[in-house]
Amino acid sequence: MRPHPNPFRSRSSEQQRDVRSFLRNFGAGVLEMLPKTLWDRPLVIRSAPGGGKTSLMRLFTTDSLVQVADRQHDFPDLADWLNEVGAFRGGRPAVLGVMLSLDRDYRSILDLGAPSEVAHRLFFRLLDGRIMLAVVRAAAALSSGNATDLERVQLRRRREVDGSDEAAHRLGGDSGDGISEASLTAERQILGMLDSLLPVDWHSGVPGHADLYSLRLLSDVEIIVDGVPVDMRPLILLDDGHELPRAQRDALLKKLVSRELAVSRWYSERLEALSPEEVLQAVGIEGRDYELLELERRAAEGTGRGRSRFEKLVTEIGNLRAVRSLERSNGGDDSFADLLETDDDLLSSSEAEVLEKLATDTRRLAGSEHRYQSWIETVEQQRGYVAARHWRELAILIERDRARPNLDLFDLPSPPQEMERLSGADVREAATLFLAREHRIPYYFGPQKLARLASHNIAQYLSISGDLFEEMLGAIMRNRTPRLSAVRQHIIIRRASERLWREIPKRLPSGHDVQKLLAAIVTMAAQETHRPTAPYAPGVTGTALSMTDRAQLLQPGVREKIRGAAALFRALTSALANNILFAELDRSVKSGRFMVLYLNRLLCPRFGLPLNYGGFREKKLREMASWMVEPEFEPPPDEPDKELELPLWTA
Amino acid sequence: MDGMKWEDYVLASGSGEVSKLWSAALEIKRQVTFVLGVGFDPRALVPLTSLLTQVGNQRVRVVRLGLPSAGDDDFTRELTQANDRRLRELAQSGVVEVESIVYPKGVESQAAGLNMSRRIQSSGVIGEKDLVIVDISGLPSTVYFPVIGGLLEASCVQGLQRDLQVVVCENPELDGIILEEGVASPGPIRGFRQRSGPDDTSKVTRVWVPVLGEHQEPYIRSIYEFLAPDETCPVLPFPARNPRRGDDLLRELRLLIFDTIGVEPRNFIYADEGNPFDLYRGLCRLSDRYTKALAPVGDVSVVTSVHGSKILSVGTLLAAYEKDLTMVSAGPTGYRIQPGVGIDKLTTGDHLMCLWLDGEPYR
Repeated sequence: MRPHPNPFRSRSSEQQRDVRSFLRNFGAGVLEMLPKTLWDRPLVIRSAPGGGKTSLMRLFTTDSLVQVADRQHDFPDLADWLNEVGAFRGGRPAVLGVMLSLDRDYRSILDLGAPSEVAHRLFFRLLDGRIMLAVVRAAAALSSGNATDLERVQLRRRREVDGSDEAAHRLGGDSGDGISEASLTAERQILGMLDSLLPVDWHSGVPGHADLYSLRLLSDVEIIVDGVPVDMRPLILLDDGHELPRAQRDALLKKLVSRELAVSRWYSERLEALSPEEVLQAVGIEGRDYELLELERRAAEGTGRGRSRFEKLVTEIGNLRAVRSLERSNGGDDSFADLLETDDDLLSSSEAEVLEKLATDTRRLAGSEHRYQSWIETVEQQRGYVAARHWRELAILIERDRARPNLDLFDLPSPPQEMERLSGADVREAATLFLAREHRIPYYFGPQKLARLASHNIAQYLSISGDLFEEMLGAIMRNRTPRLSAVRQHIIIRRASERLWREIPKRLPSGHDVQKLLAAIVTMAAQETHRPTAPYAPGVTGTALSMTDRAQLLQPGVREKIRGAAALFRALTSALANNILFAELDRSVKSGRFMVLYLNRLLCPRFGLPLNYGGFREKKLREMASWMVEPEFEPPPDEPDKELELPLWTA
Repeated sequence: MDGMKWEDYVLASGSGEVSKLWSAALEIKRQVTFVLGVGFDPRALVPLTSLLTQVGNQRVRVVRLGLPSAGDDDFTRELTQANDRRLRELAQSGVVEVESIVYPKGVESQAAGLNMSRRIQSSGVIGEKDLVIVDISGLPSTVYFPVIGGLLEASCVQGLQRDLQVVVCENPELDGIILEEGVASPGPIRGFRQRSGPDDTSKVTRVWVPVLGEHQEPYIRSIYEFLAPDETCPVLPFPARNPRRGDDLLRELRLLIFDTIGVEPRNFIYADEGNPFDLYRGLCRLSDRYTKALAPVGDVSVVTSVHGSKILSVGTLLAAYEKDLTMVSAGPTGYRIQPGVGIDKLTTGDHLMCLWLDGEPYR
């Protein structure tokens, strides 16, 4: 074990097994995103891989809630939020949460050739057994901590729900022991059929379930432990629904939205922007039959202070992760985010040279026109980096002004207020980027840019932060303040960006096609971003396909007819599933509705693109498909041994 | 450690030795059934072609296992078509008769192999007294593990008089130009999931034994994140033709092995690169040792994954079959051939190996 482990690279096993470690690193701010209705209707949670849906559900398991309740002084924010959302009552858990992953075994029932009339029944039986076993074990663990002491657990039926008698009979009765025995028997029988190396007889008499009896039963019982009712409502957390084949998923969701059920149930699945049809539309109406929480969409909403919820959340997570390591360091009062804030003099010794060049270029651009005189005079009075940025901003504004369709008849001076009116945050950001590229100064640094680089993905944030913290660890070991300069942050981030790009062919299905698609998007984005007028300030970082074209692309017959469409579909599916592209569906643009495809923000540094969302160019399906067959977008061969170190900017 | 099934074993390395082994096996007159996969890999038909020089007038039954779609580039398609043509020519000439087992569509890779293995057994295409030779050169591990496991199990449970051999054509230079794409979701290979495990897997100590290989970092990482093991014991190939191969692997995988996974140096296991039975013994010993040592504190689950050569993977298969170990895989989702390489020149490096796993030598 390293003497100074990197807290951003904590071992999965520690995170998974150690509840306290998990809770210490959990950003409570994510609970702000939960809808108001959590317990009465099914909650469907969607996110991209690494978006945090599993961690969110894990927080509501009994283990986690009990830990928070027992250690409220260690987790005050979590305790407050859990109280706010109704998971706590009087400072104790009000919810008996059990979590099951849907990625284990269920799919194999169909994959191994069970006839459809048998497959669903076995699916429900296996899931029922696991749900009931998890609930009685969680109840048993509550008071004595011994999850196997199940004879202490009883279910007392209220008999208010139709069919609960039959459900109890099928699930092993009302006692913890009986339920455990029935569940384990089902598990052994069904897994025995799934793992036999010899052929099996699917009709051999292993009985299945026509319904999800566990949900019905749990809607109608009081859980008793040692004769005392447990004052907690059961909460069933079903994770990774996208791992189920479509038929099983449909069948499950239909059961979950049943209005006869009173048990709380949450279900999570990966976001699939290229799914042929919306699964949930077939099972019910959002708001009436279920609540939907799309984590990235919710996280992207602003908090009203210029930062999105996501930025606030990941910054909190980063600070939590690093706090113990930083306590031991010089300057231990600074948080991880604090140590990324820098007031470095970005121009340093080349300030005079840079300002001189910028002033000369801008004056040449303005020519002898009086219109821009006062604008120039305003900037001339400034010094330092601020002056440099203003010169560059002025150049963009002059280019834009010249390109206006209705030029003034007379060349009269324009007041400085006019320059302010024509500018804006987007132009200033474009100026910052242009200035950085043209004069080789850092751009990718600071906690806000780090949060943006995460691309709404917590796992990605932790990975980049891990790279930055590795450098900080070097300073901590030498007993120095681990503040990272802007230059070092920029270099580390560019290296991480290059690594992501190089991993694409290896990590992603159809990785070569994905790189080709990205090469085309980036070529277009770079051309548009660096136009002198910065028309899409601060820059273009994506493309868009109309929803009509998207529907066309989803049809196999259409893909066969358009050259490159099949490769485009493969590349898009892979890129979206693996967070290389991020999609916003049904975005209104001019007169149409579009699927906007943004690059993963971590790809942007490699290509010198900005990190803001907003700028994209729409393309027709045929043009996008043609990218896949054009040799100009063929990515260069993989060079795994080539150094990852890049110059500050690529020419 | 008592009564290991393959304590004594039969292994032939090199064309000459393999040829002698086959001569011995062919002395008994019976049907020869050759199981293989024919895709883009240029090695796919090498062992069959070699065998056909020894069978005389006897017609070999070929069970062709379908394969998942490998790649979408022109080169892999051309190579696949060339192999298809060659096999058709052999069938038309009468030296082989071909039966096909189709790869199941829309099925997870970890279940597809068992699906096919069960269909092979149900179809009766392999006789009870056949000499069965499974060529794994062109097959993914998710297919040949359950196929070989199924054949072993059928012989054991049903008392069949089959002889079973596994043959592979190794060629590290060819491996170097086959580029893997994508990482499939990790999961246990069906048929190789610990059956005798406890019901509450959250209380089990999980020991992971990955067999390391070059350019496998994404797959090893993916399985590590899936398993979250309590202990990791990586296998390094030693002795090996390149004596520094183990060092090179550690250099390549340094960040993952030491920083992310946190492997202790004493946990490394060494297995002869060219002898899968050495690995088989090592894994059996490890499984017994951990089970015995940790028995007072609870149950142990030993999980393996293969990221090295195919011949070594057979050692893992045998240990998993005998000791009820779980096999996890997270392989590539597609392949490409590096463009601009003269494949014909590389095929001179083909090296045949054959293991006799069941039948005459063990009776």
